[in-house]
Parts: sequence; C-alpha cells; structure tokens
Amino acid sequence: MKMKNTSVLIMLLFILSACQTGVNDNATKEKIYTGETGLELEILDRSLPESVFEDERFDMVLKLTNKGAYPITAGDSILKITTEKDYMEIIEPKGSLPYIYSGSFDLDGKEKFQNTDDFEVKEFKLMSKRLDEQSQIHTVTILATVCYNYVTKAYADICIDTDVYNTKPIEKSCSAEQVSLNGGQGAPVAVTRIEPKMLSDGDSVKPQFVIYLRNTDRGSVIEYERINTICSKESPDRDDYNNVQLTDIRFSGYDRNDFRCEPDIAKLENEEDYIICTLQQGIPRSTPSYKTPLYLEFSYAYTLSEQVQLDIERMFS
Amino acid sequence: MGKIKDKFNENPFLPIFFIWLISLLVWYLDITVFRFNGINFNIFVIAGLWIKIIRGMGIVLAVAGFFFSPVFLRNKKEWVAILCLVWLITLICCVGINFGALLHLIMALLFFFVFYATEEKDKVSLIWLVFILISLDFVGYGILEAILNLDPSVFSRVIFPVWPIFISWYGYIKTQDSRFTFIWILMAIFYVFVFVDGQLVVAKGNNSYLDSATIRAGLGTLWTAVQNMIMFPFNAFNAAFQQSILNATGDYYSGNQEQSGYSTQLGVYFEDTETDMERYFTGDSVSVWSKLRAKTLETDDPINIELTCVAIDEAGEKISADRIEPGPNIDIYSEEDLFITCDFSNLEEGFYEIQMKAEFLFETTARLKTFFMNKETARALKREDKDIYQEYPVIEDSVAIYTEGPVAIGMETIKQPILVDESGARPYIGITIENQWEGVISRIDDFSITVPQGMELDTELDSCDFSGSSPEYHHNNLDEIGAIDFYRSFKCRFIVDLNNDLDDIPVTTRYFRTKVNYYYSLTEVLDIEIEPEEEI
Repeated sequence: MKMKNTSVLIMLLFILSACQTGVNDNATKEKIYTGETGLELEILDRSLPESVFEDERFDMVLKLTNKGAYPITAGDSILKITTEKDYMEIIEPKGSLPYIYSGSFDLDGKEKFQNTDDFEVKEFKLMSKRLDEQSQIHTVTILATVCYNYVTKAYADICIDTDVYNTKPIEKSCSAEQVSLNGGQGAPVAVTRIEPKMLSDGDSVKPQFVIYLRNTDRGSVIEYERINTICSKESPDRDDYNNVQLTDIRFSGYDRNDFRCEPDIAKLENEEDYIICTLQQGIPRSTPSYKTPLYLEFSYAYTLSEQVQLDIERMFS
Repeated sequence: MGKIKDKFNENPFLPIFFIWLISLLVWYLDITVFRFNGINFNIFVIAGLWIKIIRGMGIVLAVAGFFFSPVFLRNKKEWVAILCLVWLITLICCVGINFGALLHLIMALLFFFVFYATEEKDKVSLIWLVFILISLDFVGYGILEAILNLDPSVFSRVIFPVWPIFISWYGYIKTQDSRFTFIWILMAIFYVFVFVDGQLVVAKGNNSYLDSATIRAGLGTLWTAVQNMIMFPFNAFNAAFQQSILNATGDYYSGNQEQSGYSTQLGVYFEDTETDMERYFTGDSVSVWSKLRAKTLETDDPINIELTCVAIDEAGEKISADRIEPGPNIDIYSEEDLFITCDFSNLEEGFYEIQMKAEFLFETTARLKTFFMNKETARALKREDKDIYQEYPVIEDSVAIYTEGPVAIGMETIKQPILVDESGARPYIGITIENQWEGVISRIDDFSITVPQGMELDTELDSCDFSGSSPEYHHNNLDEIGAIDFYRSFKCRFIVDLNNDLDDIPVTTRYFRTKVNYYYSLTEVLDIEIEPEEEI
C-alpha cells in the first residue's frame, strides 16, 4: 500500500512537472516565433572610411544576423559582394573575379536553448584602383546581396465549431472566430491572420481556413530553392518571384494530405495574398466544439541587398 | 516771361525731359569726347593761382554786383545768392575753362533759367541749389575722392553723373508726373544690367581723365551689355527652344562636371589682363600684363602653352610683340601661376587692338555608368508588378561625369538598365563635345571611346566614324571635325553579349569612357591708343 502511494505521488509529481514544462514551452515558443524579419544584412558604416585615395586598401565589415526562427545553412544561402570593376577590387577573400565575391553563410535560427540571434561577421579587404585621367574624384558603389531559403512556421489556436448555428442544447466551448497573428512568426513572410469557417456538409462540418500572408521585411520573396537563379544573371522562370508554398498544415491529427488548398502557392503581389485550405474529410457534428492548435508551414526563398557608397579621391590634386 | 511760364505750366514734363536729355548728352560727350572730369582739386594748392583768381574776381564781382543789385532783384538774400553763383562761375572760368566745362556750365544755366523763369516761388533756394550742383559737378567728385579715397569704379562721375540723376528726381518732385517714375525705373534697370558690367570697365582705374582706348573698350562693353540686355529674353527663349529640339532629336547629350570641391579649376585661363600705363604716346613701349593660371593632374604629361601677342592696327595689320615673357612656349607641370608680359616697342600713333592668345593641348575625360540586366529578369519583375528600381536600388538614371576644363563631354545611352537577352543587345551611345569656355576648340588631336571589356563598338555603321578593337576605339577623321565653337555630337551602337559580357549577378555595372585631347585657344583683348607726343 505504501509502495502504491509512493508510486502515485511520484506520478503526480511527474505530471505536475510536465505541466510546468508545458507552460515554459509555450512562452519560449512565443519568444522564438516572433518578429517580422529573417536575415538582417548590414554593412557596418564605422568600418568604412568616407573616402579613400587611389590604390588604398581598406576594410569593410558585413554583419549577417538571423533574426528569425529558422536556420540558414550554407547550402541554402548565397552572399554576393560586388564592386565597380574599373575602380575597386576585393583583395580578401578572393573570388573568381577580383570585383565579385560569392560565398554562403551558416546561421542558426532561434531555438529553445538559444533564443538570441545568431550572427556572422565577414570582413572584406578591398582596394581602390586608379582614377581616370584628369579625374579628381569618383563615387563607387559596393553592393551586398543575399539570397536564402527560409521557412515560416505559424501556430494558432483555432476553434473547430461543430455547432455553427448554435442548435445544440449544450453550451459550446468556443466558436470559430478570426485569429490575428500580430508581430510575425520570426520570418520575413508572416501569417497575419486566419479566418476559420465551418462549412456544412450533411452531418458533418468541413473546417476551412483563409490564411493571410504578407511580406513583412524589406526584400523580395522568391520561389523556394531558386536562389541560384535569382542571385545570378540566369533567366528566371515565370513564377520565380513572390511565390510562397504551403508545405504543411496540421491540426488534431489531420495533415497536409487531408486538406485541399487553393491556390497551392500564394503569390504575394503587392506583398500580400491568401490561401484557402479546406479539410476534405468532414468532422461529425456530434463532436463537441473544441479548441486546437493549427500548425502552418510555408517555404520560400528571400533576397535582399544593401549598398554603400564611398569616394575615391586623387591624392595631391 | 509770362508766356514761357504759361507754356511751362501747360506741360512741364517736356521742357524738364528735354533738359534731362541734354544732361545725358553732356554725360555721353564727357566720356567719349571731352573727358571732362571737373577741376583738379590740387590746383587750389598752388598759391600763385589763388592770388590771380582773387584779383581777377574782384573786378568781376563788382560788375556783377552792379547789374544784379537789389534794385533788380526781390531781396538781399537773392542778391547774395546770385553774387555767390557768379563768383563760382567766375572761379571756374579763371581756373581754366575748356569746352567740356563750358558745356556743363551751359547746362547748369539752362536748368537754372528754366526753373527761375517759371513757377519757382523760392528763387533763393533755387540759386543755392544750382550753386551746390555746380560745385559738386566741378569740384565735388574730386573732393570726395581725395577725402574718402573712393574706388572710382564704385563712385565717380561716370557711374553717378550728377545732372541726369538730379534732373530726373527734381522733375518728378516739381511735376509729380509719373513719366519721371518710368525714367527712374529705366535708369535703375540701366544701372543694374549695364553699369555693373559696362560702366565699371569704363570707370575702373580712371578717376581723373579717361583715356580714349579705355573709353572705347568701355563703350564697347556697354554696347555689348545693352545688346545682351535686349537680346537676353530672346536668346534664352531661343536656347530653350533649340535645346528642346536637340533633346527631341537626340543630337545633344548632356553630362555633369565632376565636383572636385577644389577652388582652382583644371585648365588654362587668363586673369587680370591690363596695360602697364593708362595712356601711351608715340615712342612709348607698350606692355600688356596678364596672370596665366594653369592646372593639370597629369604630371607626366605637362600642358604645353603656346603664347602669341599681336597688336592689330586700324587697317587690320597685325604687329607681333617684340618680346613675350616668359617665352612663347611654356610647359606647365601640375599647377602654376605665371605672369605673362607682351612688349611692343615701336607702335605708331593710332588705335590698336592688343590680342593675347594662349593655345594649349588639353585633355578631358568622361565616364558613363551603365547597368545591364537579363531581359528575362526584368520581364519576371514586370509580370509580378515589381519595380526594377525598388528591387535593385543600385540602378540609377546615370548621367555622364566629365572632368574639369574648357570642354564638356556629354554621354547618353538608352534608359537604364540596358536589357540583354540571348540574342544580345545593340544600344546606342551618344557623345557630345561642347565648348564651355569663352575660347575656341581649335582642333581635336585625339578622340577615343573605351567600351567595357568584352563589348564592341559597331563600326560598320556609316554614322560611327570610329575604328579600333575592343575596348578602345579612335575617331577616324579628326580633320573633318575641325574647330568647335559650340558643340558637336557623335553617335554609335555597341554590341553586348549576355553570356560573355555580364557578371553572374542580377545587375552588372559597367563604364563607358570618352577621352578627348584638343587644342584650345583663349584670347584676351585690350584696346589702346598711341597718342601724339605731348608738348611740354
């Protein structure tokens, strides 16, 4: 008996501690999946002189910060630094051409045990070239461009309201209402709101979700895994820009295969679009209304650039 | 007297306007013919002259006192005022009357009698007013110059002639006629647009008697300024019209001069050209001085300046200078200020135009930033309603930048970015060589276009008179270009290949360059007169 009591106590403690962990999980999740930017690209002004003379070496420091919740691996990213061929060259790190650096970066997303932004500082050594004859000053532009694959993950508590017309004698626990998701999900494309609708289908209801998406960062959304095209001179395909693909939608044991989504790929024209996903299989009306977390996942690639200008001056003019 | 008064009262504007016109004529004759500049104030310092004046004036005043006695005049105050006026006129005559002075006195008396004979109630004030005006006209300028040491280019009788200014003002006060306001406006415009330029030249350095060459030069400048003033709106309209046509037809390509921020401009230019003396007499050696400033950035390749000085006489014959310092050929490395002197030793009596000419070989370069993009990328962006310039802010409407100097180079091509597809692109590039200083581009020594590495200039077209191989092409027919007074434009096409000429980035930046080596000549002109030798 004593042994039984002890077991019950241990079990209770375990359950309680599990509850506690769950609360912490939600708080951490909230912190991780917040924000409207993915990668932040910054040319550190203080690292650059305002002007340089001809044939002068100088440093440029670039900071890449992953402010989002999704990791960017070297294979999923491209960084290109370009200068004006005739007036400047990149000494270190060496690229295939003296005025173009092409590389990648590897940055973790925010995680449970790492909720600070991962960043990478890249240092470039550049050198100005000679000015044209009789020229005394020339302004050069240095351009940094990144292209990276990214994912937006969104969680929202939605209500599966099986009593749309309130005909059941018992009070329902929730009703289908629009869910606003302010503050983003730690990615440059954010799910801004979800409008659940319960479509009647005989003795069942088919939950339908209108999911609104928006490009919340300053760059451009591109087709997932098309970074090599967009960050190069290659000809892009017709749908390479603005495409956001819904890769997962889940709730209460239903997954992506159970839904029919229209369109399958969102086109963020004017930086906004929406997708309507309907559960193909109905939920019996006899099921009581309930709240459940809806999980959404979108894949896309993103590009943004940053530029800085500096003057090359002739010495002793 | 009564009739004159009635006529005057009927229409007072006309007689005053007439006197004003006479005062203008006198002013013009002062400058051009008589060189009247009042009485030299230093003359009063000579004691002997004072005695002569006082002795001679005693008799004159006695006679005047008799004829203008209070019997004929209204009161003693008037009599005293008249006597003072007579004294002043006598004094002027004693010091030495000449035709210029006589004209001024005649004009003063004309003014006096017109107002005295008409409606003037306070005749005493009028007499004193005329007294003051004559004093100011004959000795006032000299006294002010002597005391205040005024710059004659700022204050002198040439700049502020007392009679025209006073009569127009007095006429308005007396008649309240708005036409005098119009005269004042005319005078103000004249001051602003003409005097500032022209008359300062006339007056500069001539606080006493103006030499004829300076007068001629000054009047020439005055005339040019007047012409400019009249023609300015027409020219401005015409220029704008021509520019719009040129822009529409695409025959003029613009650019911006490089903003170096340095005070000394690149190139060669004259400053402060002047003669060593104000007047020359036969037998005098004539020297013309000028500061020549030159700056180049090409220290390995100095500017060679060829100097020539000639005097052109009235028959158009050219007489070369006997000596040019520091020499007819000068090499300038980097930046220098040189003092140039041209000496003419045996110029005969007459008028001469001295031409100081500097011809130098100079170089101006220009660059045009261009952006290239895959046409498919642009199409994809367009389909998505995305703005290329927002997506790629590095792309800008680029304007050619040319280096400092006497020549401007404009360069233009099609709208940026230049879109290239698999079949390539053949956009045009237009170049304008424009003379932006007051000299002349005598001839072009070399004219080249450098296209970005890999691209080619389409030299097959007849309109593109260049030859060479990528990246540098030179103009084939420089003699055909000849001298350029204003501007000359050139147009070619260039060939871009998508696969070979663009970098592996969405937007490729490349520069087109133009280099022009040219002979530029600057001329400074001065007029002088060699007068017959003065008898002592």
